[in-house]
Amino acid sequence: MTIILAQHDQAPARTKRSDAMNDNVLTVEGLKVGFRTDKGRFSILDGVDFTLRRGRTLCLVGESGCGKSVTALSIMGLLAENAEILGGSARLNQHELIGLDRHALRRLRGDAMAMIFQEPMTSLNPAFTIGNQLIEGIRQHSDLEGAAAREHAIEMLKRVRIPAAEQRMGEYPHQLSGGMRQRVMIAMALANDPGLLIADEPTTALDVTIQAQILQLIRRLQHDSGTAVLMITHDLGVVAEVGDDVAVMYAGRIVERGSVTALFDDPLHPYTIGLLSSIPRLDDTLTRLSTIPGSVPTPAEMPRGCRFSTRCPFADQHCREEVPPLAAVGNDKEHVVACWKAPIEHCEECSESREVMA
Amino acid sequence: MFAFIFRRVLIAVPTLLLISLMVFSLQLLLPGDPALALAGEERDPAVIEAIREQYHLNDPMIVQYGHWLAGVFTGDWGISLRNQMAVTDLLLSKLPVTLELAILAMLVALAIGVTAGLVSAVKKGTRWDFGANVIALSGISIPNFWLGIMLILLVSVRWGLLPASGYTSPLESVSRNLEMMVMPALVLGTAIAAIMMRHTRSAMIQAMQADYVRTARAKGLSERVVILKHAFRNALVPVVTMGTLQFGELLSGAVLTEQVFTIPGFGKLIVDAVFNRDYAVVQGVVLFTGTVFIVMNFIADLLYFLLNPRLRT
Ligand SMILES: Nc1ncnc2c1ncn2[C@@H]1O[C@H](COP(=O)(O)OP(=O)(O)OP(=O)(O)O)[C@@H](O)[C@H]1O
Ligand code: SF4
Ligand SMILES: [Mg+2]
Repeated sequence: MTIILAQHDQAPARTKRSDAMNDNVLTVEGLKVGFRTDKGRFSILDGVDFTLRRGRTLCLVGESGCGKSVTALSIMGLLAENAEILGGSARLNQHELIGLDRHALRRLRGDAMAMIFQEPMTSLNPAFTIGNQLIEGIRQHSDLEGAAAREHAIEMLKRVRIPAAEQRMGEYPHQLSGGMRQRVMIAMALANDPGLLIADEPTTALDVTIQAQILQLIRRLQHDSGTAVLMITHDLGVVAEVGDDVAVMYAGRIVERGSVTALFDDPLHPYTIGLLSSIPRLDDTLTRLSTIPGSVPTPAEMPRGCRFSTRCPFADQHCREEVPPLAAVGNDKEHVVACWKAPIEHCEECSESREVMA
Repeated sequence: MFAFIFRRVLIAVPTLLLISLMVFSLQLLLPGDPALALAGEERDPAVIEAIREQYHLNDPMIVQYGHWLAGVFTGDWGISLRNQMAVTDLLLSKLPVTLELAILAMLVALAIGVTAGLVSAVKKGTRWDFGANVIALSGISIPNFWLGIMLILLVSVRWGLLPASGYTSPLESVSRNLEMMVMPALVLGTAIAAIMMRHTRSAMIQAMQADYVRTARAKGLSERVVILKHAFRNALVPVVTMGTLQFGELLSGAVLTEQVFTIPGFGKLIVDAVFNRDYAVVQGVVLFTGTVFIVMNFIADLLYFLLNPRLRT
């Protein structure tokens, strides 16, 4: 990973919890990330902004490839070798993460911030026992050794409701079901009581019933500990279930952000409107799945202005040329949208196309 | 676990029988009638008949094979025509030499091969990786005998640093023994190091891309622990399997290298036996090294099993 941006604030963010003065656990501003590949350089994230407060859950939603994982990995400092952070800032409890050296980042990872991944089947090391992998993370960031570290590991397994926790310590990942492994991952992530938990599609690979259990578990643990959760998902059902706030991402930009209620009740961005109309409604006898026509432009053919303009029924020349800023359009100052024509209801020239969206 | 071992043994037994059958058939390729050869000048039909009886030469082939196999099991592997020694004694006298050479060569191979493989995997695409690959490729393509001769010419003849050839038992003089073993061990070891390097490299590259490596990093573990514990432990399986098989091959005797350095191991034993038409010895060496090879295969399987928690538990 190359950091192009010069950073002044190099102080490691040792404090795990934000103080009472400021509840913001994570602040991401104008984050830009690109990749170098054989075919050239591509910009993947182009100015991602959001904040996450203590004890809250922010859902990052968007279709596959829009840059959700890249956002998460940038924060954790786990981007691939060929990634470049081109600009912006990510602050954990007011301490800048971007540009932090390897060692300082390593001290934060697994301690002040932790992450769980989509694939519980492959995220644990098949060659080591559950206990070994749990204790290793505990010892890395605490003074606990030997029996005390082991006790804490067992305690964590109990907290994520794994039956026969003590016995599980000596078992290998393949002896556990997918749901159980994801619980182990959660136990591992929360073992050092992080202020921030990033969950990158933690339930996508699981059965529906297990999904609900895991989400409930995260919700409950978060309630007990006050951990802020960045929940990455492309499932609006998950957003409705666990989210306090939601940020909708499209092609490397946040296009709309607000509280879950505001966004579900009054979606402002044409992309969000499209997304919401594509979730099956229970009250509909015929499940209406009006997916948005077209596909995400490739990095090489990204429009200069609004990145949704290639699929948006309301797009005009202005949209294609100028990047719409993320701004509030109504009374709710927290509910922001990046669209020149939002709110669409009040957009006069949009009436014809509105039919298309409905 | 026991079921696994049992199954492997079940597979090993017919393979061993097949080898023994092949070794036995070697006898049939002997020119002329063995009874005639043994009877000497007189060729008295009564004597010949007695010899035929004594050596079961009148029995059907399968019975002869049975007798021969029984002999093999009771330690009767025949007598060397050349020096009248029991083949088993001959083999046992050469075993320590070949074993020592194999162990030394394997140490060289592991030290160089695994280290170079690790470095080139972790530094994939850099000059380090490129350099290690070039050296590995040369290691694979340079013939052992050529490298051996070059070493002798440079180190022994030009610089006079080490003895060019021969063998001293470590019981006599450890330092003298090591002086003589250094070059052959290097020649054999570097060839295998190249193979080990390629295997370690590809296994490590694969392991470093695994999700669990990302998890390990997300825990804030140091890069050293991530590489040497999490990735290497998973890359170890193919490396150990390959190493064991290579060791088995070393134990069969390095014919050319032993010849170049005139080391009296299995390699030299079989070459001498072939040139002297000392069939009993040829049979003995083939039977022995074949068995060793199958045993090493079995051990490789066993290690694969033991290193793999998914199979073990
Ligand atoms: N190492 C890399 N080199 C080049 N491109 C990359 C690399 N990693 C990710 N990308 C690209 O960045 C884009 C965003 O990827 P990302 O993994 O963040 O998507 P995502 O939103 O998490 O999608 P999903 O829902 O499928 O997980 C994709 O187009 C992907 O191809
Ligand atoms: S800015 Fe224009 S193209 Fe973009 S979403 Fe709004 S109306 Fe559509
Ligand atoms: Mg992803």
